[in-house]
Amino acid sequence: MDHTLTIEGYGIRLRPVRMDDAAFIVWLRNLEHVKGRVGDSATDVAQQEQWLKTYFSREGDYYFLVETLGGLMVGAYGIYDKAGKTAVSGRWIIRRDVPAAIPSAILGFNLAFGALGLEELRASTVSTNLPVLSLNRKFGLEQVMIEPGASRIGGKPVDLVHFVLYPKEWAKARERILPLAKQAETQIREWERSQPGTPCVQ
Amino acid sequence: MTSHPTEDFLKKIADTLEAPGLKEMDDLTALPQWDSLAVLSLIAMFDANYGVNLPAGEIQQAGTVSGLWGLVQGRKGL
Repeated sequence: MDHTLTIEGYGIRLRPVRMDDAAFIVWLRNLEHVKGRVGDSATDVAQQEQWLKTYFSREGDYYFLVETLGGLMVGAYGIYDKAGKTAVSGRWIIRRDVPAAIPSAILGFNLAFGALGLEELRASTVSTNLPVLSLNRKFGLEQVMIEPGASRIGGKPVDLVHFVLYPKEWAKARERILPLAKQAETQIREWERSQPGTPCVQ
Repeated sequence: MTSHPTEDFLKKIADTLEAPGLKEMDDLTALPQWDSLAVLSLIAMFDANYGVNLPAGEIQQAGTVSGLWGLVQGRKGL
C-alpha cells in the first residue's frame, strides 16, 4: 500500500518503504541470522521490485523501512492484512549490529494501536525463532496456538506459533520496556556516529 | 583481575536474565529468554554496576558469562 505513515523515536524512524529500498530489503532478508526464520523471499532486486509493485497497490498493507534519524537503513517492519480493527504484525528484521529491535517494535506497536486504530494485532513466529518468541512474550503478546507445518521455508515445512496482542497488554509491557529503549537509543546514536561518512545527528 | 567471573558477577547475570542456575560456560544464546531485550538489560546492568557501556554487538557475540566477564574486565582496564 502506498501509505504515508511515519513515526520517530529512540534514535530511529519508521517510514514508508520505497521502490529504491528493494536492494536493501533483499540484502536484509537474506542475512545469515534471518534465513530459516522468515518466509521465503526475493533473492534478487528485480524480484523484490516486482513484489513491491504488487505491495504498493495492496490495501491494508503498511510496510516500513527502519532507519536511523540520519537515514541509515537498519531494518524493516510491516503491519498487514488489516481488516477493520485487526491486522498482522510481521516482516520484522533488524540488522544484528544495531540495537534497534526494541525501539522499532515500540514504534510499530504504537502506530498499530495509535494512528491505525487497531484493537488487535496478530503475529506468527517460526517455532525455531527463539529470540522472537521470547520477545513476543515480553511484549505482552499472548500465545494462542501452535500450527504444525503451517508454512514452508527453504522448501521445508515449519511450525508457526500464533500470538495476539491487545492495547491493554501492550500499554503494560510498554512501561516496562521504555527505560531499555532509551538505553538502545544511546547505542544507536553511537553506532550511527561510527559509520563512515555519517553526518552528525543531534 | 581474575580470569574467572566472580560469584557476584555470575549472580548479577543470572538475575538479569532470570536464569537461576546459570553457569560460567553456559551458552547464553541457547537460553529461551535470550533476545534483544535481554541484551539491553545486560547493557543497563553493566552500566549501573560496573560503570562500563558495552555495545550490544559485543554482548551478542560474547557467548558465555565468561565471555561477558572478559568484556567487562577489558573495558574497565582501558
